[in-house]
Amino acid sequence: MKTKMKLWVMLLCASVLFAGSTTSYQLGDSVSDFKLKNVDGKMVSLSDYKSGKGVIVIFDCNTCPYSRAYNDRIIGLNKKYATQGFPVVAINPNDPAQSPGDSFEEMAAVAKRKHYDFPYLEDASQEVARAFGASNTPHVFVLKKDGTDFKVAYIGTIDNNTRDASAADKKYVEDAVNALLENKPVATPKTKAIGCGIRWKNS
Amino acid sequence: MWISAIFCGNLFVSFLLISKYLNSNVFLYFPPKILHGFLVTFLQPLPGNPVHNNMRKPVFLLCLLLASAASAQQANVIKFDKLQALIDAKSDQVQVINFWATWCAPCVKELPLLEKLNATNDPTVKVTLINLDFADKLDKVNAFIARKNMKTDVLLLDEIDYNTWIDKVDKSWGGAIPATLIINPKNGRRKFLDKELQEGDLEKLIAEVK
Repeated sequence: MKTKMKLWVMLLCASVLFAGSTTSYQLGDSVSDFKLKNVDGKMVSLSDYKSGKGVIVIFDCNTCPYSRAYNDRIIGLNKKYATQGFPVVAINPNDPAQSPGDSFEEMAAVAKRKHYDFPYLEDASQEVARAFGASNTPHVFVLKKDGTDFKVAYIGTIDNNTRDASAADKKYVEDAVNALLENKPVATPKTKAIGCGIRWKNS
Repeated sequence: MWISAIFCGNLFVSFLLISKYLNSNVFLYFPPKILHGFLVTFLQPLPGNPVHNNMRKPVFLLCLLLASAASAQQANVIKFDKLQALIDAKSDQVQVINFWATWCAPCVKELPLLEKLNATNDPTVKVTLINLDFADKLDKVNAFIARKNMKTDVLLLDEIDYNTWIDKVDKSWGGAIPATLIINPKNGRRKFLDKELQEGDLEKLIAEVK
């Protein structure tokens, strides 16, 4: 009887551990390196950015109206912060089978038309989006370099007005990066936003 | 042909004006089907004139659009307090609240399931569709409702600062749509689903809160 109980307890512990290992990144977590194909055909890794202060990772796509509404603001973030050590890395996680407008070719076309001066990566396996726990587009993760690690310092939306950039009075991502640049804590490290759900592959 | 088109347009406006004036629905007297036949008859192209053939389609479609837009229901624009009242409603009905937008493909795909549930006229269930298109796209939303001939109540939630209200709908909601909230006010049970509904999901979730 006792051995049976022990077995159950062990099983329970194992299942809890398993569940723990599959959850996505939370604030303060170190992010595993990833390597994805950029629209120029070259591979880009998170570790390519180890000489900077951090990275603004944005899960984004071509087709979502929210992504389109934020497109110029995303380009603006890179213009403002790349030179200060926080460049933008955009990742498109959508399954092109369900969202043909998000194919690699269409991604390259958007990057060219909008003169992206930052990578726009294809997450073909969707593993990076799963690891981050990205749920919609655009979905921002500000990573701060800490020693050799990249740690999650902000998760959420870009600002508080999707429709009108000039009317946004809470610029969450800018505030977070500004705080990190001054080595201050991020005042609002987590937000939510309505967005287009990521088009996951049919399993 | 143009004269007939203008006539048709004017006639329409007059119909609408009269119906408004009488505070009644003109389509009670002139059902869309009859109007449709009327329009088709009036908009026949003159034989042998290619210009008329070219012009016929858009004008006809415009008239048809007017006809359907006038007969279908419209979305009401609300602020969060109205949604909060719906969530907190002390009613005997199970509230089925679905969050969607016209630009959201999986939302559009699952709408027929909600329309079907609404069409059962089950007195124990109330279906409400919370539309999250931008408020300046109200015309687009209304055209969509007309085109799909939707009967379920649609409320356009005009609250752009999402972080002020998302958690009040459900703490677990990440913000992706579609999402569906099902509440039984009588026992306080609730279910929240932040993914696309499949056939049978609604019935299952309603049974779970009852």
